[in-house]
Amino acid sequence: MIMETQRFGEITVDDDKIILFPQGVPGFEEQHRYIILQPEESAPFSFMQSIDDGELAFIVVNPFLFFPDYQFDLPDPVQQELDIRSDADVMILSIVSVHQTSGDITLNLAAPVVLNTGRKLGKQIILNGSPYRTKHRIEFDTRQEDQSQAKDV
Amino acid sequence: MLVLSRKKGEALMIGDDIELVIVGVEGDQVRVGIVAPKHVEIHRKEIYLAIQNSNKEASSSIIDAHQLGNLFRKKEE
Repeated sequence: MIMETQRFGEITVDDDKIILFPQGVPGFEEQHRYIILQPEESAPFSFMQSIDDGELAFIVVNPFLFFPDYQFDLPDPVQQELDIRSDADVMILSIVSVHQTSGDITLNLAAPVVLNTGRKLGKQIILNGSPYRTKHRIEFDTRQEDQSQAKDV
Repeated sequence: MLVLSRKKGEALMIGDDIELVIVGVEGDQVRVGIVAPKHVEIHRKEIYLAIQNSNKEASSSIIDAHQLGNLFRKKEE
């Protein structure tokens, strides 16, 4: 299908690339379908573009690139909901915020997006009692040498 | 909003599947126990609101793909 998006203009969507979020994501509970767009020029960042609303998209990234010690348990009900049978099915992404005034780029580690890439199902889970917060700043100049420089806001 | 008074040890049924129990009261803090099916998510409201707000903020992050990649690669624009 073809759709009009705010950030990418007109795009062609392969039906078999559409990921279903049965509960949407917090704040956008009515939007259930997304695709991941990976423009070459933005790597490693991707965009989670809503199929239901051309103006809605999130910048997402693999959080382990910046926080290699990031870890959490995937609760059983979530595994069931997303029909996850093995680690190989799972992809974790964090939603990225770009703050206009400060220029800070932050990841939401408190609520990771969990995808079953095979079944094309997704969910943003809220970690209870974790040490993570919604804004963890990432620093690009220390990304490879010393991940521990990544700062918490 | 439905407002009911309960004493410690008393409970409420919400629908057929959800039970809310007043486990204890200490000063102005109330300990609430909830029995619910696994698929029903329960969060402290302020946490849920924080995630909602974070998502709304993130969805209006304005930066184009090219700028983003350049930041990461530390190229001069």
